[in-house]
Amino acid sequence: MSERAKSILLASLVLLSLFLTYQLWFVQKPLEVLTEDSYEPNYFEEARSLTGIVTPCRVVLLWGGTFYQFRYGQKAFTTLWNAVSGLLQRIPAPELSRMEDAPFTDPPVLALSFQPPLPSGQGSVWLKNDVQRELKEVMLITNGEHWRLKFNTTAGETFEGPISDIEALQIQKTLESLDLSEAIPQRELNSEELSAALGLNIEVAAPIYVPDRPVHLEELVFKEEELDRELLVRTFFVDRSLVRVVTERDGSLIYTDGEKGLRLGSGLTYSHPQLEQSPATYTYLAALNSASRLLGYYGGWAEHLRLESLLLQRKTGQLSEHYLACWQSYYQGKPIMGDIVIKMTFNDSGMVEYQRRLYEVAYSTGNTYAVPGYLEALLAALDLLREENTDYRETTQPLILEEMMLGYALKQETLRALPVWLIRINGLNLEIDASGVESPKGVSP
Amino acid sequence: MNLGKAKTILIIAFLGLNLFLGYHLYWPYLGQLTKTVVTAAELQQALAYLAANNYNLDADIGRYVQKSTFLTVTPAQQGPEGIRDLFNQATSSTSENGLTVYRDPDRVMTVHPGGQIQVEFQPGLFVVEQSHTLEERELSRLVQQQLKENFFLPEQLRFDYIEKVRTNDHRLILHFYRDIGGMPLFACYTKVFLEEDYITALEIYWLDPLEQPREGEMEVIPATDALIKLVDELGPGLLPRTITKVDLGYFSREYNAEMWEVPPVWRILMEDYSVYYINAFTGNLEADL
Repeated sequence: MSERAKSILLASLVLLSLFLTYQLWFVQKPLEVLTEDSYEPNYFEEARSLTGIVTPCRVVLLWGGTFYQFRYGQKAFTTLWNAVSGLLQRIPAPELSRMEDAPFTDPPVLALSFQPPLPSGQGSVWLKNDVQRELKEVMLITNGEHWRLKFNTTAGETFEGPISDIEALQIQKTLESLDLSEAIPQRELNSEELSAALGLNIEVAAPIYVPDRPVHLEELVFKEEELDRELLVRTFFVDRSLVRVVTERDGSLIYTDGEKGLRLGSGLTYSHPQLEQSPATYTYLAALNSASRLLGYYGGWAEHLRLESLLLQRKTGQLSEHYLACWQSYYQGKPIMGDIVIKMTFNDSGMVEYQRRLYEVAYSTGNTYAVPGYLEALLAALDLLREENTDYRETTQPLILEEMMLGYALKQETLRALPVWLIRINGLNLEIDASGVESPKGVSP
Repeated sequence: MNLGKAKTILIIAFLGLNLFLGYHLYWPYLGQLTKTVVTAAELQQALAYLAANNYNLDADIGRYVQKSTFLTVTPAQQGPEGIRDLFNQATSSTSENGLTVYRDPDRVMTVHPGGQIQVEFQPGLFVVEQSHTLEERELSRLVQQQLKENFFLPEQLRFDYIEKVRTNDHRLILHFYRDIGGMPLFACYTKVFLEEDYITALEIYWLDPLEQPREGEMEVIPATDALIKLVDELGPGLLPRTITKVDLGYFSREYNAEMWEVPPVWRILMEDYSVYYINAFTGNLEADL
């Protein structure tokens, strides 16, 4: 080979090596860079601990001869629940069963009702040394000198036992520290008084407390919950590269990998039909933790949400079963009704279905409404029953009042919420407008 | 050392360096050109697995690395371009459920809200005598020729297979799909109904690709894996079942949507004309969601 050819070849090889080095150094990405986010954990938040999953549906306080009622989202509710929860976590359960004296006959100072029930005993954080139970009511009673803890279980059992003086003192301090200046005194509805006032036979099924003085509630404006859509998709689908997108005519997006589907429009809807056939062998306690983990991972547990029910369901004629968990949105102790939904079904294989459409309070308009009294609301509810429920026969059917409370009704079109009375009579949920402006909303079975 | 020798040594050194760099840069790609995803042994194993579950493979399957990606499509609301023009003189009516019907003396076209189209010919377009005795390819050629000359035939349409209607030997359904850059788009189809040598009806569902397949092609699973996945999903056959076609293409269910991405699938056709689609990325049987 001539020297000239060698020089040309050498120069070419030097240039080629420079080019290849450049390619290797700057252009080609290392494998770890290409794959780094493929399996990174994606979720909104960690699961809540059990103390944050189950909360009372109602706390009734009898203080100074006056009833007060608190629900989720009120400051006093949180204070009282934390105090009782702490007590139940510290108290040695066997002490409760050592009840030798006669039960206290005084009405409870504090009564906490649970729906879904409070899991206690082994595996739970409450009454850890006890056998597993599901509590539907926890009460604190005093005879003026000593305090006792009493609880009713879903199995119909009642337990009562003394609590130590130190614990009693702590509870007493908590109660004395409560600021009740803003709290509205309540009255307990009584079947005879109510029947006489309404001029018909009405029975109060369970203790119901209603405001004993005029109540004014403000009009609220809501905004739709905004979730990080990309994070949501990554949460549901481990490998994003396998997910395809369907753009619907209304702008909603459907993400699917052929097995499961996620629709993001107004809220989210998710389904994984192949998991439907699996069983649900979770215990109640494990199901609570699963519900919390799933909600935390897939969108997060918003502050205003309370777990409202957790039920084991089985389809007729099928072996498959699942848990159905539903949450309710609250604003300062009042449930928000309307087109708000957050519910999921899950079993041993995972989440089968999930619906989430949430709204958060943006601001108050400043308009306040004088809420009609409970008698007025009940009369309106009875009118509604007569008008819309053809099966209702006042003369033959006894009226059973099951629930009555104040809430808000959110109107989808305006995103404004006005106060309503939520009344349940004979298994029918009635929403009675409480703003004094609009007519009753309707009947739902 | 003289200059000539030094140059030779440097040439050898740089040649070695370049080979080393080239190996690191391009070997993964060069390797794929020659890589066989399905070895003969793997193919035999797959066939044995099928046979053990009462399935018999009577189709050619590709054994080399294939790559694909999602395809974005939009439904053609009025069918393939040009078909609507054939009914310019027709009387049209729209019913409450959104069906639009175009009537001509010898044909009726029904357009569904989701984009599906049905055309009925009265009395029909004659193709050939004794059509059911012809070879598949020959019959499909004649049908396409007839449609092109006397009605309408989109250029991108490709013949797929002929389905014989069990209850009537003289009734055939010719299946066509839309070709997208050499890959079948099974979700975009035309069915031609042939009865007693006449084309009596068409069923068309037309999709238009919005974008070329998006970047980031990924390797698809081998056809043998798709077959094994299908058998796992369906379970052992009670009677022997024969697989007559295994093809890679695009498929998704029909959505009443503005646009959607379609995944690559292995389309598996059985002797009894049942069709299954195995997602070529995930290996999952494509289900309605």
